[in-house]
Order: sequence, then C-alpha cells, then structure tokens
Amino acid sequence: MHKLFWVLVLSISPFSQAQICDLTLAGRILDQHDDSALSHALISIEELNVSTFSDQDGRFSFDHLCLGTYTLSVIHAQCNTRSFSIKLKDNSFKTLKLEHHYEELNEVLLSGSSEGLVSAAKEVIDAGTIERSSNQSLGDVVSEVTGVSGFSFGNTVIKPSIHGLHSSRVTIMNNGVRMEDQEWGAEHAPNVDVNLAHSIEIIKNASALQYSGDAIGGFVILKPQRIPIKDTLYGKARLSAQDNGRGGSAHVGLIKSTAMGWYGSLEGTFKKYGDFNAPEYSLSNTGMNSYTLAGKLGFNEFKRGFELSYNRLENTVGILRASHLGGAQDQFVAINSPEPLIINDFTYNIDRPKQEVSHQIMSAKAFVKSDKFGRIDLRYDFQKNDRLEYDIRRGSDQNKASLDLDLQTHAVSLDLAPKLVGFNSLKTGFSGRYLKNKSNPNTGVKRLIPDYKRYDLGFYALATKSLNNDLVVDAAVRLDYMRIESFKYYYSALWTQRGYDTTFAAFEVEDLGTQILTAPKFNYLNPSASLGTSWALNEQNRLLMNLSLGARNPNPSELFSEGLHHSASRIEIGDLRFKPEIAKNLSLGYRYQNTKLNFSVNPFVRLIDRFILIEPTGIQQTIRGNFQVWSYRQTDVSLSGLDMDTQYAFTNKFGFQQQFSLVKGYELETKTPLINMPGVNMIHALNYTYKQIEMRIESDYTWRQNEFPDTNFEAFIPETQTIELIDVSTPPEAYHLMNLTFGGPLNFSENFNFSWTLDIQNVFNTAYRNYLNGMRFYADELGRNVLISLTSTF
Amino acid sequence: MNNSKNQNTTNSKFLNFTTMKNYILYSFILLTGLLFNACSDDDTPPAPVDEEEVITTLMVTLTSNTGQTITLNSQDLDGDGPNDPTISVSAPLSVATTYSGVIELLNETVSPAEPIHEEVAEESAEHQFFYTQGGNINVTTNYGDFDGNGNPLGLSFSLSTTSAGQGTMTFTLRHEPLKPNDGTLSGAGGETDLSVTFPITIE
Repeated sequence: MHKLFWVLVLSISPFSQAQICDLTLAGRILDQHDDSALSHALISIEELNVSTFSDQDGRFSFDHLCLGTYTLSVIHAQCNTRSFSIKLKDNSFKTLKLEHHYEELNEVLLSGSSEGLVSAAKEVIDAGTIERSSNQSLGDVVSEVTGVSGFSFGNTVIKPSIHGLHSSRVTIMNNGVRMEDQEWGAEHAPNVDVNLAHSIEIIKNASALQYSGDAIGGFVILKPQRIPIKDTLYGKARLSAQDNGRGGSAHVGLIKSTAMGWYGSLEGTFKKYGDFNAPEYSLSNTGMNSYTLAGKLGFNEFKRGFELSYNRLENTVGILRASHLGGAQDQFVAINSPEPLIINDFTYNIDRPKQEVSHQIMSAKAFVKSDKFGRIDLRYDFQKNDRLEYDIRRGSDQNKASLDLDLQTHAVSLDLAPKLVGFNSLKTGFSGRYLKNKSNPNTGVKRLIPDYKRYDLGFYALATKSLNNDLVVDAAVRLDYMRIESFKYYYSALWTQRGYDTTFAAFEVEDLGTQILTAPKFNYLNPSASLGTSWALNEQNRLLMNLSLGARNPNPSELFSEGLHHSASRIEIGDLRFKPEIAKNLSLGYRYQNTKLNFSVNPFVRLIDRFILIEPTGIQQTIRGNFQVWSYRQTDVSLSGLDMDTQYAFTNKFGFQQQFSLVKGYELETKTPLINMPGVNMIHALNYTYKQIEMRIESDYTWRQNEFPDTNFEAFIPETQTIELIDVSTPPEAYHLMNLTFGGPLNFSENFNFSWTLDIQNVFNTAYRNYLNGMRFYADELGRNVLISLTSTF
Repeated sequence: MNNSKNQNTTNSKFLNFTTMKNYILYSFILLTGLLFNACSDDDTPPAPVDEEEVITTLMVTLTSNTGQTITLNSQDLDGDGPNDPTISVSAPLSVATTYSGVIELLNETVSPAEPIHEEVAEESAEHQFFYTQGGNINVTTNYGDFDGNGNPLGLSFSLSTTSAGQGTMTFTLRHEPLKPNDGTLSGAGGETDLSVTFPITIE
C-alpha cells in the first residue's frame, strides 16, 4: 500500500520533472510582537506545491529551487495565514513575521484540518459581532447575514432560517457536535450560547457533507476560540444591560494554557430578562432566564492531542400569555383584537405557559497528525436534552408539564485527512449515532412525540484540488443510513381513517379500544453529493459555483403527529408513508473586490422533491369547540432567489453597506406559494469612525410577503351565532426599522482592554409585526431597545 | 503498516504516528461496537398516558318545577381524535316553564370516570360558564352558584322559557376569564375549555 502511495506522490510531485535548479531558500518565522521563534509553522511554496514545517527555532529551508518569483504562504496554528512574495535570484535567507494574536483566531485546532469546501456559499460572523450580540440568541445573531432570517415564536425563541428553510433542514454544529435537541418544532430554539463561539459560519446550501447529508437548508457552524500552545492565562468578560425587558447578560471566560501543550478553560453566561414590551404595551409573560456553563481540559502538542469538554445550558422561557388559546373561537377573538387580550404589569416572574429546557454535551476527542500522512481525528459526544413545556392547566395538574421529553444522543466519529500531494485538502470519515427519545407518560397529556430510537451510520469523503493558480474544484460524497424504531399510541379511529390498518398492519401491537399501540419501524438509505468550483478571473473578480444533492428523512413530528398542538391551537396530523425529501441545489456566486468596493451576488435555485409541508385540511369538532386540522403533505417544490452584498469605503473612516435578499418558493404543480417564506429584505448602513469611536446608522426595510397560501378557515362563533372567517394566513404589512450603534475602546490600563457599545434598536419605536413570528397574530414585535455593553479582555 | 521498521530509520516520529493511528482506529471500532450494543436494551413498550384533564362528557340536567327531567348530553371519547362528539337532547323543553339546571363534566377515558366538575368547583374563581342562545328561541338564564368573590360560576343555573320555538343553546366553559366581566364571551376572554352547542326545541 505504501509503495503505491509513493508512486502516486512521485508522479504528481513537481520534482519529478527534470530541471537544473539548485538554489536554496531558507528563513525563520518570528512572532511580529516579540520576535520569538514560531515553531510548527507550515510554509508552502504555492507555485510548486511543496511545503515544510519550521523547527523549534522557527527555521525552515527549501532546496533545489529555480530562479523566479515564488509565493510563500505561512500557516501557523495561532496566527493569521500570510503570504509573502519572494524573488529568488541567489541562495537567500528571509525572516518572515506573523501576527501572533489570540483575539483574531478563528479556527478550531481540534476540529479537523480541512473545513468546508471552497465553493460553498459561506459567510462568517466574526468575534467582534458576536461580542456585540452577547445578549442575543443564535437566531438573532445569524439573521445579520444576508439571506438568513430568524424564524421565531416570540422574541426569545428564534431559530435560524436560511432562504426560508429551518428546523430539521438546517444543521447546527456546536464545537464539532451536531445539535440534537428536538429541533423539529417551530417553537424550539437551538440550545446554544453564542458567547461560547468565537466565529459562526453559515453555509447556505447542503455542501458541507462532512457534517451531515440532510441539511438541505444549510449549516450554522459555531466554532470556539483556538487556544495557543504557550504559557499564558487570559480571559474575557462581557456585561450588557438593556431597557427593553429590563435585564442583561454577563459572560466570563478564563483560559489557561502551557507551553507543554496542556490547556483548560472555564466559561459561564448568565442572562435574565423580565417581560419585554412592544411600542404600546407590555408583552406579558415573555421574560427569560438562562445560564450556560462550559469547561474543557486538553492537551495539544501539535502532532497529537486530546480534549475533554462539558457544556450545560439551562433556559426558562416565558410564552406570551395571550397566545394560549382553546380553539377556533378564541383564535377568532385573539386575531381580531388589535392588542393582546392579556396585558399585565411588568414582572420578572415567568408563569405558564413556559418552556424549561436543559441541554448538556459531553465530548471526548483526540487527534494525531503526521507531516507526511495527514491527520486522524476521533471523537465521542454525548448529548442530553430535557424539554419541559408547561401549559395552563386545571386542578392537581396545574404545576405539571404538558410535554416532558428526554432525548439522549451518543455519537462517535472518525475523520481521516490524508495528505496527498496535488490535493489542497482531502478528508474522509465515518460516524455512528444512537438517539433515544423518551416521552414521560406522567404528564397526563397524550404524547406529542412518541418514544423512539434512532440509529444513524454515515460515511463521507471530500477533496479540494487546485487545477491551476486561478481554479479550484471541490467534490464530496456521503452515504447515510438511518433506522428508526418507535412505539406509538394512535387513536384507533385515525389509524383506520388513514388506512394504516391495511398498509401498516404489521406495526400493530395491541388494541386498547379508543387507542391502538403500534411499533412503526423504518429504514432509510440516502446518498448526497456536492461538486463545486472557485475561479479567480483576476485579482478583483471571482466566480463560485456549487451543485449539491441532499436528502432529509421525515422527522418524528412529520411522521407521528396526531393531536392538538397547543402552542399553535390546531390539530396536527403526520403521515407514516413519507419518503425522504431530495434537494437539488445550484448556487452561483460572483465576487468583486478592490480597495474600495466589495461586491457579491449569490443567486441560487433549489428543487426539492417530496418537500414536506403542513397545511389546513379541515375542521375537527371536539367538546372544546372547533379546531383547525393541519395535515403534513409531500409535494415537489422550487426555491429560488438571490443575496446581494455591497460595501463601499469612501475613505478609511467612512463606509457604506447594502444587503439585499430575495427568496421565492412555489409548489411545482400548482404554483402555490410556500408558507413562511421571508419577505424581501434590504438593509442600508453608513459606518463612520471619529477618533476611536465607530458609529453605524442602519435602515432595515422588509417588504410585505405578498405571496402566501390561503389557509384561512371558517368557524361557528356561538356568541354571535355567526360563521366567521379566521384569517391565519394574511402576512403583516411591510416595516422599516432604524438602528444606531456606537462603540469604541476605553483605555484604563495596559493589562486590560476595555471596549464599549451603545446600541439603539428600533430607534423610532415602530410598531410592526413579522410574518416569520408565530406570535404575530397576537402582538407587535419589540419596541425601542437601548443596550449598553462593556467588554474586557485580559 | 508493518513497514514501520523501515520507516523508523528515516523518521522516528512515524512510528509514533502509526501506533497512535492504530490506537485511534481500534478505539473507534470498540466505541462503535459498544454504542450499538448498548442500544439494544429493553424493547418493552411505554405505558399509555392516562389523560387527566380531558373533558369527554358534558351532561346538563334540566329539572322543571313540575318534576320533568331533560338531559342534554355531549360525549367525545377520543378527545381531539378524529371522531366527532355525539350530541343528544332527551326531550323538547316546555313553554313558559322554569328549569333548574345542573352541569356535570366527566373524563371517561379513565375508569372510573373522573368528575371534572369537582375540580372546576374547587377553582371557581378561575372558571365561568356562559350560556348563549341562537335561532328562534327566547330563554332567560340566571346563575345559581358563585365563586368566593361573589362572581358567577355557572355549574348550576336556572332557565326559563316563554314561547315556542326552535334554536340552539351553547354551553361554554372559560378558564381564567376576566372576573367580574360583562357576561359576554368576548368581554370575559380567557381560554375555552369546553364549547358545546345543542339543538333546542321549545313546544
């Protein structure tokens, strides 16, 4: 096997070409700050595809070079990558300096060497933005990116929606762990604390196949700060306070590392808010309490290392009191009332309805690396998600949760990144996962999600290769197997009504009269693939293209739902016959960059076969009155749109920025618009720096979504003895928000770096409603918010 | 992999890499094995949920001053399942008669049936019944029971008929309504726990 390898290396290596060249280029890599030697830096001559590592004194050398100009790129774990252009006329010695700066590290040492593919439509939210958003949820932070919006249920439960796709269609990676946290529900926010991330990457298509093959909407990847290999102790602290919600957040992180390679870190975040307010009234019972604790211990000797980590997040979130309804007639009154029907005085108390969610992650990972053969990563992750939802109940059940789910996930993965000359990166891996969901029967409420076990097996391989200086191509393939085994009690009437008694007779276990116990088991096998290219036309112009194929299996909610979904005040019915959704995506990108102008436009087309959507199919009479019935259905759809970003610097202190995003979604056969597609959004901003103070004024305009499916229904209102139309589909009006931000450093002492931010959101206290917020039927969005935050690094 | 002796002479670090690589590969196989072994534990089905709060049955008993008893009954054993409630009225009401009414609420998904009206009576301050008429009937209703604050509850009531006619009566139970209120459903707000419409004939 090794022989074959060497043959391959020799045939690709440029040294195999006969040339009479005998120059030597040697040098040293130094830290720009203190001229200390940087060992383990990877120095590559890009033109020749050769590379070497610097030794303990930072020294390196290349032999047998020809006359000419070479581009040297220097990569070091704790520095920004730099390129140097060197004209070689004679044997030379060069000193190359790197900025060895901890604040600007944005990659994870332990999460593998070759990250996403070059052609992916990738956006990165940097540490500075995360710092300013310390008080916000992940959904809020990522919606700053063009084409990403928050799909929300109130103002604290917000999930990322990429081009209108969210929940199970967006994979969230948190420090290398794929989040498994009942992500199917619209009212289930991702359980991550943005403060623990150093950068957040958003990939707007299914191309990052090393993580998963079913992210047909895209990926949100949170990466922690990389820890340097040297004797140091440093940390950061952030405090923020805001008037809307009369609360704030505090975050403290401490990192200790040694030159031997040992390191440890401890971080914590605490947030507390009372009732938030809309411009004209208080949003009763919308407060939240949250805390996060994260710690890790590890060893990194550059060529090998391991890490143990633990992360715990606890969230208690109040749900707007006025949104808890009992049937169509309550819905009619609530929707037609201009104000929420229940408005109480401000309080920090969080009453029912509320959610209490706890999410824990325990990880163990190790890697080993060789100059010649690349890198091997092994990891094991355990996740435990406990979700309690409390409704307004009667009698002895008053303090009992209505939903009590316990989801445990074990995952192992092995990633191999062999180093093959000729490839920029090469990676392959296997993963196995076991999930167990338990729904506590003591709630006294029929299970919304049944008990199930899920087994996943995955294999992927990806490669990136430069065809020449200007053209890079990448390709990836993945195969996923999934098996789900569940126990589910169905209403007997529904079981026969849907014809399951003939199609799925084998699943029947026991007939209990009105209910029937069944044991549905399904297997899915899905391939996915991605192919892309990045083509630099010249220094200013670059073209990107990516074609991807992804497949998503129906989630437990889409398969098994059959009952009243309290928070939506409707009966939801899933379908056991569902097959996986298949998404075919084409993303294009054009980027222009010069010293003043930065422009990019990214159109995309996505065809999804058997897209699972939910729509109203009738009215169900119950003793509690009429409820609308929504059933899941599969249909072929198309999504298309474009994102556009422009930045222009008039001077180095004065800049302009524009973001534009448009997405359209239709059912292919009927041309019916898809529900919950974001309206067209355009942001303009001016940035100005005066002395050290940065100012930003931002105008955020969202057009009304004029294309929506009509899901209105009629219901009998006993009070007026009339049949009334209940409008649950008409989107709210367009809105325009103005935001102001000021920020700058504070210089108190040498050892402590202070910076401050003053943020005023919704300056004019505009009352508006957002189509993508499930609470829009009952209340306005937040009014003006003044936020002050202070950050210190030491 | 067994060429490591050869490699050792050229690069001592390679041995380390190979050994580490093997450790990692073996532990992956071991871990995966453990994972999928540990999973095949008990396959006993979970217990069915005893639905504790569900109201399956509304029974209104009207007793006239002449001793005539009329029952209005609505039963929905599968709650929010696909079967509609079955609604029955035992007899037509008589003209110019006063009835005393009593409301019983049952959860018949459990055995013995759970009397939900007792819970409602215990939490009288957080509940109220409303009686709405429709069609061509003319009846007057008056509350017969009150909560601790003197506001109406409505598990018992009186109903007086005048002339003959045909129409509907709707019984609505609101949870956490505004109390006191103006006696209308829209004025009371709250969450609908029950809403049943009966066809009524007065002759």
